[in-house]
Amino acid sequence: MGSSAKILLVGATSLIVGVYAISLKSVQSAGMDTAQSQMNQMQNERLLDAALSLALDDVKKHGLPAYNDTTQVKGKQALGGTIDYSIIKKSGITAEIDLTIKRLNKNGEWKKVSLAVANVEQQTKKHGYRKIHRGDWRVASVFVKRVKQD
Amino acid sequence: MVTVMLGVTVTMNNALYETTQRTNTAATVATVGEIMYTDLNQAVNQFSTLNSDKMVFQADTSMNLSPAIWITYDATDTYTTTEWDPVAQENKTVTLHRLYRQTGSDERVMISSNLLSVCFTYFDSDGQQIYSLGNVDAIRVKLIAKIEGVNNGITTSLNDFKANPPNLN
Repeated sequence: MGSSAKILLVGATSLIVGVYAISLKSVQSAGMDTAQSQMNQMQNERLLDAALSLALDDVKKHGLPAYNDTTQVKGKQALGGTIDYSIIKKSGITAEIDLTIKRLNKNGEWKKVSLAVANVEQQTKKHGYRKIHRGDWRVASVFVKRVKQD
Repeated sequence: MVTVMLGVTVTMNNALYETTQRTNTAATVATVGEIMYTDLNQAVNQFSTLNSDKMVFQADTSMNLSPAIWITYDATDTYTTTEWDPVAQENKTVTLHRLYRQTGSDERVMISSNLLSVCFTYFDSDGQQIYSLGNVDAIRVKLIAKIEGVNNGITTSLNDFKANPPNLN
């Protein structure tokens, strides 16, 4: 075999190995993204609970806003996320809290990951894994819309 | 030299195929888990069916406090395939599940097949497993999928998570 043929063979082999290595890396990176999405799921759940606790704490400490008025809070930090919420009075003992939770994405930009509407009330405590209460205030129900993070 | 080159190509091709199959199956199982997890976190009422392969619950998916709709996950539909078992060196019959999701009165949609096992487990607020209708506070979902065409045998991909819907109980 001539030297040019050998060079050609080595070059072709390197090219094939290189192409497969890049493809393998790309597939493995997709696998990592899958694992990451499951971790994000748990982290978003923890952030939602932290956000509800913060908002309910606000209600307990400062009370409800006046009728037709809204308490707005922006930029609270918890568990690596940013939480914005507004409290709207529904009655003397009930209120609606609108939550927006943001996290840094892999490009370093803040992106919304959850939007939630929670109903809170002055009632006896509920028991369970994720029942949040501050004083005699508790989260009665919460409706979450997950927003996909880029 | 040509033999070595061909050998390298075949080996790399097999590695790429196997990794792709594993990743695709893992991604499929994770996507099914994500859909189920999102639905469970919208659950607003107690469950009407608590089977290990079928669960039915009410959820509010619109976030505007509108009336809840019934959501059904049903893996009772099974089918069989024949697989070569490299350990026993013989063909064996494998039973697989199809998983369907249905919302309200819409037509049910198959969201996954090729599942070796689907298991829903239900817990109360004390963390105790419950077997009959009552106050469900958490649900563990375990999905095991078969990875097609890897090692001529049954290789599995697993998704196992526990959802604690905030509105239950």
